[in-house]
Amino acid sequence: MAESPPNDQQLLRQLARGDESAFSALYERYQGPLFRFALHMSGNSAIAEEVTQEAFMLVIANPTNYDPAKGTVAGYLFGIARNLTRRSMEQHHNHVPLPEEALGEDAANICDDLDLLTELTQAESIEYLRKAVLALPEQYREVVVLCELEEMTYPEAAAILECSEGTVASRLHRAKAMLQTKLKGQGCVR
Amino acid sequence: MNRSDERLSSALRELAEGSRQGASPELGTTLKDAFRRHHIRRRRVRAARIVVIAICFVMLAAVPLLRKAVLKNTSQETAAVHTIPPQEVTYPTDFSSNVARAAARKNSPHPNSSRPGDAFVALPSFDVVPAGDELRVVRLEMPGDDLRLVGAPVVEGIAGRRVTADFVVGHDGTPYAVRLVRTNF
Repeated sequence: MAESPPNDQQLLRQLARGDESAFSALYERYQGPLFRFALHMSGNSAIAEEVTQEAFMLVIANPTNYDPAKGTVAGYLFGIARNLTRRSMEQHHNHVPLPEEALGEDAANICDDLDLLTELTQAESIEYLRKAVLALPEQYREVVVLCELEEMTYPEAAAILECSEGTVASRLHRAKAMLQTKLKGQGCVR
Repeated sequence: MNRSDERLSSALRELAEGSRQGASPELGTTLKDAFRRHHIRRRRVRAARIVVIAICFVMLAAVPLLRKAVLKNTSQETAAVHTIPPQEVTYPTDFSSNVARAAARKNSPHPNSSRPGDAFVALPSFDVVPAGDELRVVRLEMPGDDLRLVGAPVVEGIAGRRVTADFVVGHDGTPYAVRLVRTNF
């Protein structure tokens, strides 16, 4: 019978003892989600790379900082990534409140009289949606990234964002409404 | 969920799939190297700590042993002091210092004539030396029997021979102490 792969906590314990294979396993498991979270939050792949690196360096240096009583390893790692991303964006002055004009002419040309689903599957429209997500206020952007882009459940997102599931649901609802408003405003949605 | 929501969710999934999926492979290599270096350093630090702790334990264990050894040496020295035989002669307190000084003066020109351990023997048949009396040491050669009569410690074997002795005498010639000169027998 095949052995089940070690869970995150076991990996973290082995990693703390210096087991390189455990580190590799944990890295392979989480580098993608952490990178994508930072990328969608910042819109900058260099920041995402930096955040991923720093998050894992913290895990290497202080693996015992994780407290199982406070949540999952995933929540712990995303919490680190979230704080690092916020700090990094402040340092890079990389808040991206997308100006309306930035979405202006190009988007209007692309989306004019087109059905949202049909058109947003095209590369340019996807880029437009990416900008619209980046233009959301941080708290709404977080829930869109976690629940929609990373496909996390409400409890998982709530654990990372340190809020209730109800808050996650209401923020997501509002974020989607904001996105649709932006898209309608540009004539992308009928 | 209405049609518009579904379309938005679908578009967001498209966005997620179309984005870069992970960090660069170089980052993985860099982090694995960092992990290796960190744990090598950590192991070294831990080994150094173990060595320091071991040294501390050895020192802690050695302190009582060293203390015991020191105490043993001290007691041996004390015991050695205790085993020194008592002086054959004790000078009367009122003239011993004068006698000793005179003896010391007398001894210095004849370093080979007597051994340092030889002491003057007070002669009990004479009065104590008066304060301020000037003492001298006079070397005499006389029969052993005569020396015994004045109180010198002459053993039976040399009683019939002539024996050289140092006498501590006062300014009027009164002898107060005597010492046999060993070179004679």
